Amino acid sequence: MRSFLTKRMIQTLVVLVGVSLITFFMMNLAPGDPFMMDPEMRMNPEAVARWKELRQLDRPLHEQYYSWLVNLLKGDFGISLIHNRPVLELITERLPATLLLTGTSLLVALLFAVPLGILSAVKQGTFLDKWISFFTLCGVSLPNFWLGMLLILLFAYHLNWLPASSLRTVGVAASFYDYIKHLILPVVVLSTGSAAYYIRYIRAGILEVIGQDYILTARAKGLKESTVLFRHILRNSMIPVVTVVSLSLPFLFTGAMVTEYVFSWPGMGRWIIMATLSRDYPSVLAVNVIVAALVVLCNLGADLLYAYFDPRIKYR
Amino acid sequence: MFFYWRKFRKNPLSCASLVIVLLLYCMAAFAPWLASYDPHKTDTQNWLNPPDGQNWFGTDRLGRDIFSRVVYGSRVSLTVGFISTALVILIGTMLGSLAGYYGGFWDTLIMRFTDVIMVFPTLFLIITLVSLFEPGLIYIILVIGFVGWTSVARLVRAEFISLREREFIQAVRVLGASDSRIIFRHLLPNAMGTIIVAATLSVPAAILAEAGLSFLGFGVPAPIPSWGNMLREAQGYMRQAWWYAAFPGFFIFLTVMAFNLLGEGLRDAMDP
Repeated sequence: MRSFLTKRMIQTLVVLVGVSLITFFMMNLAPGDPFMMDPEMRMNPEAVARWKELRQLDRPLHEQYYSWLVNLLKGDFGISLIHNRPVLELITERLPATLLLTGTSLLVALLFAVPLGILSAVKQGTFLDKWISFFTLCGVSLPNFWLGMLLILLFAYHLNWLPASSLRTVGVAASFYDYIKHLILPVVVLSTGSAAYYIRYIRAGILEVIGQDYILTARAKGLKESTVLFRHILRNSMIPVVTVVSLSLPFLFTGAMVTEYVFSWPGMGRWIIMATLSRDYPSVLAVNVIVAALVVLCNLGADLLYAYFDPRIKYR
Repeated sequence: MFFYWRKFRKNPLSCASLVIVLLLYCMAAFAPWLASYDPHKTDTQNWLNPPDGQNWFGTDRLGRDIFSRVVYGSRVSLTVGFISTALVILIGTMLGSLAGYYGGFWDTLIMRFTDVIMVFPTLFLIITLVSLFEPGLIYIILVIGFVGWTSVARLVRAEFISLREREFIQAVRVLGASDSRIIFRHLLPNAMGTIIVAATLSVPAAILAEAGLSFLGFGVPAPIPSWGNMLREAQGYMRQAWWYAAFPGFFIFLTVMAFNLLGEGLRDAMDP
Protein backbone atom coordinates (compact mmCIF):
# COMPACT_ATOMS: atom_id res chain seq x y z
CA MET A 1 0.00 0.00 0.00
CA ARG A 2 2.70 2.45 1.00
CA SER A 3 4.82 1.80 -2.07
CA PHE A 4 1.69 2.14 -4.20
CA LEU A 5 1.03 5.54 -2.67
CA THR A 6 4.62 6.69 -3.19
CA LYS A 7 4.50 5.56 -6.79
CA ARG A 8 1.24 7.38 -7.37
CA MET A 9 2.56 10.52 -5.69
CA ILE A 10 5.57 10.56 -8.00
CA GLN A 11 3.29 10.06 -10.99
CA THR A 12 1.10 12.89 -9.76
CA LEU A 13 4.08 15.21 -9.48
CA VAL A 14 5.21 14.34 -13.01
CA VAL A 15 1.75 15.03 -14.39
CA LEU A 16 1.51 18.35 -12.55
CA VAL A 17 4.92 19.51 -13.72
CA GLY A 18 3.86 18.53 -17.24
CA VAL A 19 0.68 20.56 -16.94
CA SER A 20 2.50 23.62 -15.67
CA LEU A 21 5.23 23.32 -18.32
CA ILE A 22 2.73 23.03 -21.16
CA THR A 23 0.65 25.94 -19.87
CA PHE A 24 3.68 28.10 -19.21
CA PHE A 25 5.28 27.71 -22.59
CA MET A 26 2.01 27.71 -24.49
CA MET A 27 1.08 31.08 -23.03
CA ASN A 28 4.53 32.57 -23.42
CA LEU A 29 5.13 31.45 -26.98
CA ALA A 30 1.84 32.99 -28.04
CA PRO A 31 1.89 36.32 -29.81
CA GLY A 32 0.60 39.22 -27.72
CA ASP A 33 1.29 40.13 -24.13
CA PRO A 34 -0.64 41.29 -21.06
CA PHE A 35 -0.44 44.91 -22.22
CA MET A 36 -2.12 44.48 -25.56
CA MET A 37 -5.53 45.22 -24.06
CA ASP A 38 -4.36 48.54 -22.65
CA PRO A 39 -4.04 51.24 -25.34
CA GLU A 40 -2.25 53.71 -23.06
CA MET A 41 0.44 51.19 -22.25
CA ARG A 42 0.72 50.28 -25.92
CA MET A 43 1.60 53.89 -26.75
CA ASN A 44 4.39 53.94 -24.24
CA PRO A 45 7.05 51.27 -24.86
CA GLU A 46 9.22 52.59 -22.05
CA ALA A 47 6.51 52.00 -19.49
CA VAL A 48 5.97 48.52 -20.82
CA ALA A 49 9.68 47.79 -20.55
CA ARG A 50 9.77 49.08 -16.98
CA TRP A 51 6.75 46.99 -16.13
CA LYS A 52 8.29 43.89 -17.57
CA GLU A 53 11.45 44.53 -15.61
CA LEU A 54 9.50 45.03 -12.43
CA ARG A 55 7.61 41.76 -12.90
CA GLN A 56 10.75 40.03 -14.15
CA LEU A 57 9.08 39.28 -17.46
CA ASP A 58 12.25 40.29 -19.32
CA ARG A 59 14.28 37.34 -18.11
CA PRO A 60 14.75 34.14 -20.13
CA LEU A 61 11.78 31.80 -20.07
CA HIS A 62 13.44 28.94 -18.23
CA GLU A 63 14.49 31.30 -15.43
CA GLN A 64 10.94 32.64 -15.19
CA TYR A 65 9.57 29.12 -15.01
CA TYR A 66 12.08 28.11 -12.38
CA SER A 67 11.33 31.06 -10.12
CA TRP A 68 7.60 30.47 -10.58
CA LEU A 69 8.07 26.86 -9.48
CA VAL A 70 10.15 27.84 -6.45
CA ASN A 71 7.57 30.41 -5.40
CA LEU A 72 4.80 27.87 -5.89
CA LEU A 73 6.47 25.53 -3.45
CA LYS A 74 6.37 28.38 -0.93
CA GLY A 75 2.64 28.70 -1.57
CA ASP A 76 2.97 31.84 -3.66
CA PHE A 77 1.09 31.83 -6.95
CA GLY A 78 2.42 35.21 -8.07
CA ILE A 79 0.63 38.45 -8.80
CA SER A 80 -2.02 38.87 -11.45
CA LEU A 81 -0.75 41.03 -14.29
CA ILE A 82 -4.17 42.51 -14.91
CA HIS A 83 -5.64 42.96 -11.45
CA ASN A 84 -2.32 43.73 -9.80
CA ARG A 85 -3.25 41.60 -6.81
CA PRO A 86 -2.05 38.19 -5.60
CA VAL A 87 -3.56 35.41 -7.69
CA LEU A 88 -4.33 33.38 -4.61
CA GLU A 89 -6.50 36.22 -3.32
CA LEU A 90 -8.40 36.40 -6.62
CA ILE A 91 -8.98 32.67 -6.56
CA THR A 92 -10.13 32.46 -2.96
CA GLU A 93 -12.64 35.22 -3.68
CA ARG A 94 -14.19 33.28 -6.55
CA LEU A 95 -13.66 29.65 -5.68
CA PRO A 96 -16.47 29.33 -3.10
CA ALA A 97 -19.15 30.29 -5.63
CA THR A 98 -17.80 27.80 -8.15
CA LEU A 99 -17.49 25.04 -5.56
CA LEU A 100 -21.03 25.74 -4.36
CA LEU A 101 -22.30 25.34 -7.91
CA THR A 102 -20.26 22.26 -8.87
CA GLY A 103 -20.68 20.56 -5.50
CA THR A 104 -24.44 20.97 -5.44
CA SER A 105 -24.67 19.85 -9.05
CA LEU A 106 -22.61 16.76 -8.37
CA LEU A 107 -24.84 15.86 -5.42
CA VAL A 108 -28.04 16.46 -7.35
CA ALA A 109 -26.75 14.51 -10.34
CA LEU A 110 -25.89 11.50 -8.16
CA LEU A 111 -29.17 11.78 -6.30
CA PHE A 112 -31.05 11.30 -9.55
CA ALA A 113 -28.60 9.09 -11.37
CA VAL A 114 -28.19 6.33 -8.81
CA PRO A 115 -31.86 5.35 -8.41
CA LEU A 116 -32.67 5.87 -12.09
CA GLY A 117 -29.62 3.90 -13.19
CA ILE A 118 -30.50 1.01 -10.87
CA LEU A 119 -34.13 1.10 -11.96
CA SER A 120 -33.30 1.07 -15.62
CA ALA A 121 -30.88 -1.86 -15.22
CA VAL A 122 -33.17 -3.94 -13.01
CA LYS A 123 -36.10 -3.35 -15.36
CA GLN A 124 -33.93 -3.87 -18.44
CA GLY A 125 -35.85 -3.93 -21.70
CA THR A 126 -39.10 -2.64 -20.25
CA PHE A 127 -40.96 0.48 -21.26
CA LEU A 128 -39.51 2.32 -18.25
CA ASP A 129 -35.95 1.39 -19.20
CA LYS A 130 -36.51 2.64 -22.73
CA TRP A 131 -37.80 5.98 -21.51
CA ILE A 132 -34.93 6.43 -19.09
CA SER A 133 -32.48 5.58 -21.87
CA PHE A 134 -34.15 8.06 -24.17
CA PHE A 135 -33.94 10.83 -21.61
CA THR A 136 -30.31 10.11 -20.81
CA LEU A 137 -29.53 10.29 -24.51
CA CYS A 138 -31.23 13.69 -24.63
CA GLY A 139 -29.30 14.78 -21.55
CA VAL A 140 -25.98 13.80 -23.06
CA SER A 141 -26.78 15.57 -26.33
CA LEU A 142 -28.11 18.85 -24.92
CA PRO A 143 -25.59 21.69 -25.15
CA ASN A 144 -25.67 23.00 -21.58
CA PHE A 145 -25.59 26.68 -22.56
CA TRP A 146 -28.66 26.19 -24.75
CA LEU A 147 -30.48 24.39 -21.96
CA GLY A 148 -29.55 27.30 -19.69
CA MET A 149 -30.93 29.83 -22.14
CA LEU A 150 -34.18 27.89 -22.54
CA LEU A 151 -34.64 27.59 -18.79
CA ILE A 152 -33.99 31.31 -18.31
CA LEU A 153 -36.49 32.04 -21.06
CA LEU A 154 -39.16 29.88 -19.48
CA PHE A 155 -38.70 30.20 -15.73
CA ALA A 156 -37.18 33.65 -15.43
CA TYR A 157 -38.71 35.67 -18.25
CA HIS A 158 -42.07 34.06 -18.96
CA LEU A 159 -43.15 32.56 -15.65
CA ASN A 160 -41.07 34.90 -13.52
CA TRP A 161 -40.54 32.21 -10.89
CA LEU A 162 -36.77 32.15 -10.60
CA PRO A 163 -33.98 34.69 -11.04
CA ALA A 164 -31.96 34.51 -14.26
CA SER A 165 -28.56 35.46 -12.98
CA SER A 166 -26.11 35.99 -10.16
CA LEU A 167 -25.69 34.36 -6.78
CA ARG A 168 -28.11 36.41 -4.73
CA THR A 169 -30.43 39.37 -5.03
CA VAL A 170 -28.57 42.65 -4.83
CA GLY A 171 -29.71 45.00 -2.11
CA VAL A 172 -31.53 42.34 -0.13
CA ALA A 173 -30.09 40.78 2.98
CA ALA A 174 -28.57 37.40 2.13
CA SER A 175 -30.86 34.55 3.07
CA PHE A 176 -30.75 30.80 2.58
CA TYR A 177 -33.98 30.85 0.56
CA ASP A 178 -32.55 33.51 -1.74
CA TYR A 179 -29.41 31.45 -2.40
CA ILE A 180 -31.48 28.36 -3.14
CA LYS A 181 -33.65 30.26 -5.60
CA HIS A 182 -30.57 31.46 -7.46
CA LEU A 183 -28.99 28.03 -7.40
CA ILE A 184 -31.87 26.07 -8.92
CA LEU A 185 -31.47 26.91 -12.62
CA PRO A 186 -27.66 26.69 -12.86
CA VAL A 187 -27.66 23.45 -10.89
CA VAL A 188 -30.31 21.94 -13.16
CA VAL A 189 -28.24 22.90 -16.20
CA LEU A 190 -24.97 21.61 -14.82
CA SER A 191 -26.33 18.38 -13.36
CA THR A 192 -28.46 17.30 -16.35
CA GLY A 193 -25.51 16.33 -18.52
CA SER A 194 -23.53 14.61 -15.80
CA ALA A 195 -26.58 12.80 -14.40
CA ALA A 196 -27.22 11.41 -17.87
CA TYR A 197 -23.64 10.12 -18.10
CA TYR A 198 -23.80 8.57 -14.64
CA ILE A 199 -27.11 6.82 -15.38
CA ARG A 200 -25.61 5.15 -18.43
CA TYR A 201 -22.57 3.94 -16.56
CA ILE A 202 -24.52 2.76 -13.55
CA ARG A 203 -26.87 0.84 -15.84
CA ALA A 204 -24.02 -0.72 -17.78
CA GLY A 205 -22.12 -1.55 -14.58
CA ILE A 206 -25.10 -3.29 -13.03
CA LEU A 207 -25.93 -5.22 -16.19
CA GLU A 208 -22.36 -6.49 -16.24
CA VAL A 209 -22.62 -7.78 -12.68
CA ILE A 210 -26.15 -9.18 -12.93
CA GLY A 211 -25.03 -11.90 -15.34
CA GLN A 212 -22.27 -13.21 -13.05
CA ASP A 213 -22.42 -16.64 -11.48
CA TYR A 214 -22.16 -15.38 -7.91
CA ILE A 215 -25.41 -13.47 -8.32
CA LEU A 216 -27.07 -16.70 -9.41
CA THR A 217 -25.55 -18.36 -6.34
CA ALA A 218 -26.82 -15.61 -4.07
CA ARG A 219 -30.32 -16.01 -5.47
CA ALA A 220 -30.09 -19.80 -5.26
CA LYS A 221 -29.18 -19.49 -1.59
CA GLY A 222 -32.63 -17.99 -1.18
CA LEU A 223 -31.51 -14.48 -0.32
CA LYS A 224 -34.09 -11.76 -0.50
CA GLU A 225 -34.03 -9.90 -3.81
CA SER A 226 -33.26 -6.63 -2.01
CA THR A 227 -30.25 -8.21 -0.27
CA VAL A 228 -28.99 -9.53 -3.59
CA LEU A 229 -29.42 -6.11 -5.14
CA PHE A 230 -27.84 -4.02 -2.43
CA ARG A 231 -25.19 -6.34 -1.01
CA HIS A 232 -24.06 -8.18 -4.10
CA ILE A 233 -24.98 -6.32 -7.24
CA LEU A 234 -24.63 -2.69 -6.22
CA ARG A 235 -21.42 -3.01 -4.35
CA ASN A 236 -19.72 -4.76 -7.23
CA SER A 237 -21.08 -2.43 -9.85
CA MET A 238 -19.84 0.66 -8.03
CA ILE A 239 -16.35 0.43 -9.54
CA PRO A 240 -17.11 1.75 -13.02
CA VAL A 241 -19.31 4.38 -11.41
CA VAL A 242 -16.52 5.62 -9.18
CA THR A 243 -14.25 5.82 -12.23
CA VAL A 244 -16.77 7.77 -14.25
CA VAL A 245 -17.58 10.19 -11.47
CA SER A 246 -13.91 10.92 -10.82
CA LEU A 247 -13.13 11.25 -14.52
CA SER A 248 -16.09 13.54 -15.06
CA LEU A 249 -14.93 16.07 -12.48
CA PRO A 250 -12.83 18.13 -14.92
CA PHE A 251 -15.81 18.20 -17.27
CA LEU A 252 -18.01 19.33 -14.45
CA PHE A 253 -15.53 22.09 -13.84
CA THR A 254 -15.40 23.30 -17.44
CA GLY A 255 -19.15 22.83 -17.69
CA ALA A 256 -19.35 25.12 -14.70
CA MET A 257 -17.41 27.76 -16.66
CA VAL A 258 -20.00 27.84 -19.42
CA THR A 259 -22.88 27.64 -16.98
CA GLU A 260 -21.40 30.47 -14.94
CA TYR A 261 -21.11 32.47 -18.13
CA VAL A 262 -24.78 31.95 -19.02
CA PHE A 263 -26.02 32.76 -15.52
CA SER A 264 -23.51 35.53 -14.71
CA TRP A 265 -22.44 33.44 -11.73
CA PRO A 266 -19.69 35.21 -9.76
CA GLY A 267 -17.33 32.22 -9.85
CA MET A 268 -14.06 31.53 -11.61
CA GLY A 269 -15.57 30.98 -15.07
CA ARG A 270 -15.81 34.46 -16.49
CA TRP A 271 -12.66 35.62 -14.72
CA ILE A 272 -10.53 32.83 -16.09
CA ILE A 273 -11.87 33.30 -19.60
CA MET A 274 -10.87 36.97 -19.42
CA ALA A 275 -7.50 36.08 -17.89
CA THR A 276 -6.77 33.74 -20.79
CA LEU A 277 -7.72 36.35 -23.34
CA SER A 278 -5.55 39.01 -21.78
CA ARG A 279 -2.55 36.69 -21.23
CA ASP A 280 -2.58 37.01 -17.47
CA TYR A 281 0.05 34.26 -17.13
CA PRO A 282 0.12 33.88 -13.36
CA SER A 283 -3.66 33.51 -13.08
CA VAL A 284 -3.96 31.05 -15.93
CA LEU A 285 -1.04 28.98 -14.66
CA ALA A 286 -2.41 28.88 -11.15
CA VAL A 287 -5.89 27.79 -12.20
CA ASN A 288 -4.57 25.13 -14.57
CA VAL A 289 -2.30 23.66 -11.93
CA ILE A 290 -4.93 23.79 -9.19
CA VAL A 291 -7.61 22.15 -11.33
CA ALA A 292 -5.18 19.53 -12.57
CA ALA A 293 -4.12 18.81 -9.00
CA LEU A 294 -7.77 18.44 -7.96
CA VAL A 295 -8.39 16.04 -10.80
CA VAL A 296 -5.34 13.94 -10.05
CA LEU A 297 -6.28 13.79 -6.38
CA CYS A 298 -9.79 12.69 -7.30
CA ASN A 299 -8.36 9.93 -9.45
CA LEU A 300 -6.19 8.80 -6.59
CA GLY A 301 -9.23 8.85 -4.32
CA ALA A 302 -11.09 6.75 -6.88
CA ASP A 303 -8.30 4.16 -6.88
CA LEU A 304 -8.44 3.94 -3.12
CA LEU A 305 -12.23 3.59 -3.21
CA TYR A 306 -11.89 0.63 -5.58
CA ALA A 307 -10.16 -1.31 -2.87
CA TYR A 308 -12.98 -0.45 -0.50
CA PHE A 309 -15.72 -1.59 -2.86
CA ASP A 310 -13.87 -4.64 -4.06
CA PRO A 311 -11.48 -6.16 -1.50
CA ARG A 312 -10.02 -8.37 -4.23
CA ILE A 313 -8.20 -5.30 -5.49
CA LYS A 314 -4.92 -4.81 -3.66
CA TYR A 315 -2.32 -2.21 -4.39
CA ARG A 316 1.31 -3.02 -4.13
CA MET B 1 -19.54 -5.77 -43.50
CA PHE B 2 -22.84 -7.05 -44.82
CA PHE B 3 -23.33 -8.91 -41.54
CA TYR B 4 -22.90 -5.72 -39.52
CA TRP B 5 -25.30 -3.88 -41.79
CA ARG B 6 -27.95 -6.54 -41.27
CA LYS B 7 -27.62 -6.20 -37.51
CA PHE B 8 -27.56 -2.41 -37.70
CA ARG B 9 -30.67 -2.35 -39.89
CA LYS B 10 -32.70 -4.18 -37.26
CA ASN B 11 -32.61 -1.22 -34.86
CA PRO B 12 -35.10 1.43 -36.00
CA LEU B 13 -33.49 4.17 -33.90
CA SER B 14 -30.08 3.61 -35.48
CA CYS B 15 -31.62 3.72 -38.94
CA ALA B 16 -33.44 6.94 -38.10
CA SER B 17 -30.20 8.48 -36.85
CA LEU B 18 -28.40 7.45 -40.03
CA VAL B 19 -31.13 9.13 -42.10
CA ILE B 20 -30.92 12.31 -40.00
CA VAL B 21 -27.13 12.43 -40.33
CA LEU B 22 -27.38 12.00 -44.10
CA LEU B 23 -30.05 14.70 -44.29
CA LEU B 24 -27.85 17.06 -42.27
CA TYR B 25 -24.95 16.46 -44.64
CA CYS B 26 -27.26 17.13 -47.59
CA MET B 27 -28.37 20.33 -45.88
CA ALA B 28 -24.75 21.45 -45.59
CA ALA B 29 -23.90 20.43 -49.14
CA PHE B 30 -26.94 22.04 -50.78
CA ALA B 31 -27.14 25.07 -48.48
CA PRO B 32 -27.30 27.63 -51.34
CA TRP B 33 -30.34 25.87 -52.83
CA LEU B 34 -32.10 25.21 -49.54
CA ALA B 35 -31.69 28.60 -47.93
CA SER B 36 -34.54 30.89 -48.86
CA TYR B 37 -32.46 34.06 -48.37
CA ASP B 38 -28.85 35.18 -48.39
CA PRO B 39 -27.68 34.43 -44.80
CA HIS B 40 -25.72 37.70 -44.71
CA LYS B 41 -28.41 39.99 -46.14
CA THR B 42 -29.60 42.42 -43.48
CA ASP B 43 -33.03 44.02 -43.48
CA THR B 44 -33.42 46.85 -41.01
CA GLN B 45 -37.17 47.02 -41.59
CA ASN B 46 -37.77 43.49 -40.36
CA TRP B 47 -35.53 42.76 -37.43
CA LEU B 48 -36.56 40.28 -34.73
CA ASN B 49 -39.63 39.20 -36.70
CA PRO B 50 -41.31 36.09 -35.28
CA PRO B 51 -41.47 32.99 -37.47
CA ASP B 52 -43.99 33.27 -40.29
CA GLY B 53 -44.55 32.05 -43.84
CA GLN B 54 -41.69 34.12 -45.20
CA ASN B 55 -39.05 33.66 -42.51
CA TRP B 56 -39.72 30.17 -41.23
CA PHE B 57 -37.50 30.57 -38.18
CA GLY B 58 -37.99 34.34 -37.84
CA THR B 59 -35.34 37.00 -38.30
CA ASP B 60 -32.42 38.07 -36.10
CA ARG B 61 -31.32 41.41 -34.69
CA LEU B 62 -30.12 42.59 -38.11
CA GLY B 63 -33.14 41.27 -39.96
CA ARG B 64 -31.25 38.28 -41.35
CA ASP B 65 -33.27 35.16 -42.04
CA ILE B 66 -32.58 32.69 -39.21
CA PHE B 67 -33.57 29.65 -41.28
CA SER B 68 -30.98 30.48 -43.93
CA ARG B 69 -28.36 31.10 -41.28
CA VAL B 70 -29.15 27.79 -39.60
CA VAL B 71 -28.82 26.02 -42.96
CA TYR B 72 -25.44 27.62 -43.61
CA GLY B 73 -24.41 27.07 -39.99
CA SER B 74 -24.62 23.32 -40.55
CA ARG B 75 -21.55 23.66 -42.77
CA VAL B 76 -19.44 24.89 -39.86
CA SER B 77 -20.64 22.24 -37.41
CA LEU B 78 -20.33 19.33 -39.80
CA THR B 79 -16.93 20.44 -41.08
CA VAL B 80 -15.63 20.74 -37.54
CA GLY B 81 -17.16 17.40 -36.63
CA PHE B 82 -15.68 15.62 -39.62
CA ILE B 83 -12.15 17.05 -39.83
CA SER B 84 -11.54 17.24 -36.08
CA THR B 85 -12.60 13.63 -35.76
CA ALA B 86 -10.26 12.62 -38.57
CA LEU B 87 -7.43 14.29 -36.62
CA VAL B 88 -8.53 12.72 -33.36
CA ILE B 89 -8.55 9.27 -34.92
CA LEU B 90 -5.23 9.78 -36.69
CA ILE B 91 -3.36 10.96 -33.58
CA GLY B 92 -5.16 8.64 -31.19
CA THR B 93 -4.64 5.55 -33.31
CA MET B 94 -1.01 6.34 -33.97
CA LEU B 95 -0.08 6.95 -30.34
CA GLY B 96 -2.35 4.21 -29.03
CA SER B 97 -0.91 1.58 -31.34
CA LEU B 98 2.68 2.62 -30.61
CA ALA B 99 2.04 2.38 -26.87
CA GLY B 100 0.07 -0.83 -27.12
CA TYR B 101 2.35 -2.63 -29.55
CA TYR B 102 5.78 -1.76 -28.23
CA GLY B 103 4.92 -1.39 -24.54
CA GLY B 104 7.72 -0.60 -22.09
CA PHE B 105 9.34 2.80 -22.43
CA TRP B 106 7.11 4.03 -25.28
CA ASP B 107 4.02 2.93 -23.44
CA THR B 108 5.04 4.80 -20.28
CA LEU B 109 6.03 7.93 -22.19
CA ILE B 110 2.89 8.10 -24.32
CA MET B 111 0.50 7.21 -21.53
CA ARG B 112 1.96 9.77 -19.11
CA PHE B 113 1.61 12.38 -21.84
CA THR B 114 -2.00 11.25 -22.33
CA ASP B 115 -2.56 11.63 -18.58
CA VAL B 116 -1.25 15.19 -18.69
CA ILE B 117 -3.63 16.12 -21.50
CA MET B 118 -6.50 14.34 -19.77
CA VAL B 119 -6.22 16.23 -16.49
CA PHE B 120 -6.50 19.58 -18.25
CA PRO B 121 -10.05 20.87 -18.12
CA THR B 122 -10.73 20.27 -21.83
CA LEU B 123 -12.68 23.36 -22.76
CA PHE B 124 -10.19 25.49 -20.91
CA LEU B 125 -7.22 24.01 -22.74
CA ILE B 126 -9.05 24.58 -26.03
CA ILE B 127 -9.75 28.20 -25.12
CA THR B 128 -6.11 28.77 -24.20
CA LEU B 129 -4.92 27.25 -27.46
CA VAL B 130 -7.50 28.99 -29.62
CA SER B 131 -6.64 32.37 -28.11
CA LEU B 132 -3.08 31.89 -29.36
CA PHE B 133 -4.17 32.12 -33.00
CA GLU B 134 -6.09 34.54 -35.16
CA PRO B 135 -9.79 33.72 -35.01
CA GLY B 136 -10.61 31.26 -37.77
CA LEU B 137 -12.36 28.00 -38.44
CA ILE B 138 -9.19 26.11 -39.36
CA TYR B 139 -7.54 26.76 -35.98
CA ILE B 140 -10.64 25.68 -34.12
CA ILE B 141 -10.69 22.42 -36.05
CA LEU B 142 -6.99 21.83 -35.41
CA VAL B 143 -7.21 22.61 -31.71
CA ILE B 144 -10.25 20.41 -31.10
CA GLY B 145 -8.48 17.62 -32.95
CA PHE B 146 -5.22 18.01 -31.05
CA VAL B 147 -6.95 18.01 -27.69
CA GLY B 148 -9.51 15.25 -28.15
CA TRP B 149 -7.43 12.19 -29.03
CA THR B 150 -6.73 10.90 -25.51
CA SER B 151 -9.64 8.50 -25.13
CA VAL B 152 -9.07 7.05 -28.61
CA ALA B 153 -5.41 6.46 -27.77
CA ARG B 154 -6.42 4.60 -24.63
CA LEU B 155 -9.00 2.46 -26.43
CA VAL B 156 -6.63 1.52 -29.26
CA ARG B 157 -3.85 0.76 -26.79
CA ALA B 158 -6.10 -1.55 -24.78
CA GLU B 159 -7.23 -3.27 -27.96
CA PHE B 160 -3.64 -3.75 -29.15
CA ILE B 161 -2.49 -5.11 -25.82
CA SER B 162 -5.18 -7.76 -25.84
CA LEU B 163 -4.66 -8.56 -29.53
CA ARG B 164 -0.89 -8.76 -29.61
CA GLU B 165 -0.75 -11.86 -27.40
CA ARG B 166 -3.28 -13.77 -29.50
CA GLU B 167 -2.12 -16.85 -31.32
CA PHE B 168 -2.68 -15.56 -34.83
CA ILE B 169 -0.42 -12.60 -34.19
CA GLN B 170 2.26 -14.84 -32.75
CA ALA B 171 1.91 -17.09 -35.77
CA VAL B 172 2.43 -14.15 -38.09
CA ARG B 173 5.44 -13.11 -36.06
CA VAL B 174 6.96 -16.58 -36.25
CA LEU B 175 6.52 -16.39 -40.02
CA GLY B 176 8.86 -13.42 -39.90
CA ALA B 177 6.48 -10.54 -40.56
CA SER B 178 7.87 -7.08 -39.84
CA ASP B 179 6.43 -4.85 -37.11
CA SER B 180 4.78 -2.52 -39.58
CA ARG B 181 3.19 -5.44 -41.41
CA ILE B 182 1.83 -6.85 -38.15
CA ILE B 183 0.46 -3.46 -37.14
CA PHE B 184 -1.07 -2.44 -40.45
CA ARG B 185 -2.17 -5.79 -41.87
CA HIS B 186 -3.19 -7.66 -38.73
CA LEU B 187 -3.68 -5.52 -35.64
CA LEU B 188 -5.32 -2.41 -37.08
CA PRO B 189 -7.97 -4.24 -39.15
CA ASN B 190 -8.95 -6.14 -36.02
CA ALA B 191 -9.20 -2.93 -34.02
CA MET B 192 -11.25 -1.24 -36.76
CA GLY B 193 -14.61 -1.79 -35.06
CA THR B 194 -13.45 -0.01 -31.91
CA ILE B 195 -11.96 2.82 -33.95
CA ILE B 196 -15.07 3.36 -36.09
CA VAL B 197 -17.31 3.52 -33.03
CA ALA B 198 -14.92 5.90 -31.25
CA ALA B 199 -14.86 8.08 -34.36
CA THR B 200 -18.64 8.30 -34.58
CA LEU B 201 -18.86 9.17 -30.91
CA SER B 202 -16.18 11.85 -31.11
CA VAL B 203 -18.06 13.76 -33.81
CA PRO B 204 -20.72 15.03 -31.36
CA ALA B 205 -18.00 15.96 -28.87
CA ALA B 206 -16.26 18.08 -31.50
CA ILE B 207 -19.52 19.71 -32.58
CA LEU B 208 -20.38 20.56 -28.97
CA ALA B 209 -16.87 21.94 -28.41
CA GLU B 210 -17.14 24.25 -31.43
CA ALA B 211 -20.60 25.41 -30.40
CA GLY B 212 -19.38 26.11 -26.88
CA LEU B 213 -16.35 28.02 -28.14
CA SER B 214 -18.40 30.11 -30.54
CA PHE B 215 -20.92 30.74 -27.80
CA LEU B 216 -18.20 32.05 -25.50
CA GLY B 217 -16.82 34.20 -28.31
CA PHE B 218 -13.67 32.23 -29.07
CA GLY B 219 -15.04 30.43 -32.06
CA VAL B 220 -15.94 31.15 -35.61
CA PRO B 221 -15.66 34.91 -36.24
CA ALA B 222 -18.91 36.86 -36.45
CA PRO B 223 -20.17 37.26 -40.01
CA ILE B 224 -19.91 33.52 -40.71
CA PRO B 225 -23.07 31.91 -39.34
CA SER B 226 -22.40 29.09 -36.89
CA TRP B 227 -24.98 27.63 -34.53
CA GLY B 228 -22.81 28.54 -31.56
CA ASN B 229 -22.27 32.19 -32.45
CA MET B 230 -25.95 32.59 -33.33
CA LEU B 231 -26.73 31.55 -29.77
CA ARG B 232 -24.18 34.05 -28.54
CA GLU B 233 -25.92 36.84 -30.45
CA ALA B 234 -29.30 35.64 -29.23
CA GLN B 235 -28.27 36.01 -25.60
CA GLY B 236 -29.11 39.70 -25.50
CA TYR B 237 -32.52 39.28 -27.13
CA MET B 238 -34.03 36.45 -25.13
CA ARG B 239 -36.92 38.49 -23.79
CA GLN B 240 -38.03 39.77 -27.18
CA ALA B 241 -37.26 36.83 -29.44
CA TRP B 242 -37.42 33.21 -28.27
CA TRP B 243 -36.95 31.94 -31.82
CA TYR B 244 -33.51 33.55 -32.01
CA ALA B 245 -32.07 31.10 -29.50
CA ALA B 246 -34.46 28.21 -30.00
CA PHE B 247 -33.71 27.12 -33.57
CA PRO B 248 -29.90 27.17 -33.74
CA GLY B 249 -29.77 25.39 -30.37
CA PHE B 250 -32.26 22.80 -31.50
CA PHE B 251 -30.11 21.97 -34.50
CA ILE B 252 -27.04 21.51 -32.33
CA PHE B 253 -29.09 19.20 -30.15
CA LEU B 254 -30.48 17.27 -33.13
CA THR B 255 -27.08 16.81 -34.76
CA VAL B 256 -25.33 15.74 -31.57
CA MET B 257 -28.15 13.34 -30.72
CA ALA B 258 -28.14 11.80 -34.20
CA PHE B 259 -24.41 11.13 -34.07
CA ASN B 260 -24.67 9.72 -30.56
CA LEU B 261 -27.43 7.34 -31.65
CA LEU B 262 -25.51 6.37 -34.77
CA GLY B 263 -22.40 5.60 -32.71
CA GLU B 264 -24.39 3.47 -30.32
CA GLY B 265 -26.12 1.65 -33.15
CA LEU B 266 -22.72 0.89 -34.69
CA ARG B 267 -21.38 -0.31 -31.38
CA ASP B 268 -24.32 -2.65 -30.85
CA ALA B 269 -23.95 -3.96 -34.38
CA MET B 270 -20.18 -4.46 -34.26
CA ASP B 271 -19.76 -5.69 -30.72
CA PRO B 272 -20.08 -9.45 -30.65
